[in-house]
Amino acid sequence: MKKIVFILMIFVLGPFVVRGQTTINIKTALQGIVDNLEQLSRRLTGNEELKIRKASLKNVIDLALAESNDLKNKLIKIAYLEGDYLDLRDTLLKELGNHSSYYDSISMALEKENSLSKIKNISTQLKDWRRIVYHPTLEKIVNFLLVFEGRDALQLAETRFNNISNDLKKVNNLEVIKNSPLNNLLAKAEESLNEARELQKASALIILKSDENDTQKLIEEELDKIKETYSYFLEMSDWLKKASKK
Amino acid sequence: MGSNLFNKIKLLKQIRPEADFALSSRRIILTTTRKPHYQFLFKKQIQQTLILSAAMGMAVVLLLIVGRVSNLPLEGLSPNLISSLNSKELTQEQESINFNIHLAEAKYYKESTTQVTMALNNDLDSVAMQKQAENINSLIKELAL
Repeated sequence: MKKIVFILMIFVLGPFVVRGQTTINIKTALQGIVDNLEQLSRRLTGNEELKIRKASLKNVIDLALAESNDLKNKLIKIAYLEGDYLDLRDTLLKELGNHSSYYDSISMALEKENSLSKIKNISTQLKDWRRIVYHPTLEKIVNFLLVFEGRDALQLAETRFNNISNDLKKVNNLEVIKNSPLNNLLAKAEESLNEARELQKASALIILKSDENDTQKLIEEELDKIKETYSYFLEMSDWLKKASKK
Repeated sequence: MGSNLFNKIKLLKQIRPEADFALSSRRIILTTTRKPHYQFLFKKQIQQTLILSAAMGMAVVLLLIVGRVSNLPLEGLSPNLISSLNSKELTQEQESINFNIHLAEAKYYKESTTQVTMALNNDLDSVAMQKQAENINSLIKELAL
């Protein structure tokens, strides 16, 4: 019985532990890079510099692995994917897997090297690889995540809109409701929601094209439109509250 | 004299109707509808009138309510009339949307790549390294992950 409870706890708490660890790792790795940079800025002997440069590279690799895990977990969590988007998610997960393999190979090479010039070479290799391979993939992944976070937010707002709309229809025969600002506010909310929907569609199309990079801006605009929708809902709520107190 | 009269009276008790008369009289009695008692009739009429008046009164009240619904005053409104406009739920939902769209994380990933690329630069002098360390430090402070 205890074993079953333990296994269940691992399944239930596992994702939180993994997420917690990932967060700590990213911060820790970044802090490690800062410490190494501060040490490198001082006057150092050859051996000291070699040691710190190795440690610095190791921190960059740790950071990259932590980021990779974080992104992988987030990609896996996205629900209700289909068609091209499901394929794209699989491709992105595969690319993250390739990145991890590359980091592992660099890490092994780093451990063996004891020459400052070769360590600097590895550093340059890693820098170029990140620019050419890692950064474009990272951008795609971040955009992909934002689009589907936007989709979920939009769905939540749409459900709320439909509920309010249905509730309002039920009481719309009351003269006081007919003459109230509620219908006008609901129409404005619908307008904002439609704009958010269009922005969502546009951002979802963009992530399927590799050479466009307006996704983040579109999601920011979509979020603003969803916020605007909620501001109308809250205005309606306030009116109702005030009217019932009169 | 007295006992003679008493005997005659006793004889009167033996008087019986003829059988045919008795039969026809019984039929007449049984087939004739019973006339209600006037007092009872009066009570029942009052009762019926009262029930009818009450029903009509209720109907009038209902008609008044239905007729006035379309002109309900504002004080008749309940804040829960439109349950989906619950301000607490709306605020919570709006906050969850802000929380679930990780624009800050997107910003982090954008900045961290630049900072790490700089840190991997072998040609940084000591001043540039210090500056870079400060940049990454501020990135850690802003880290929303």
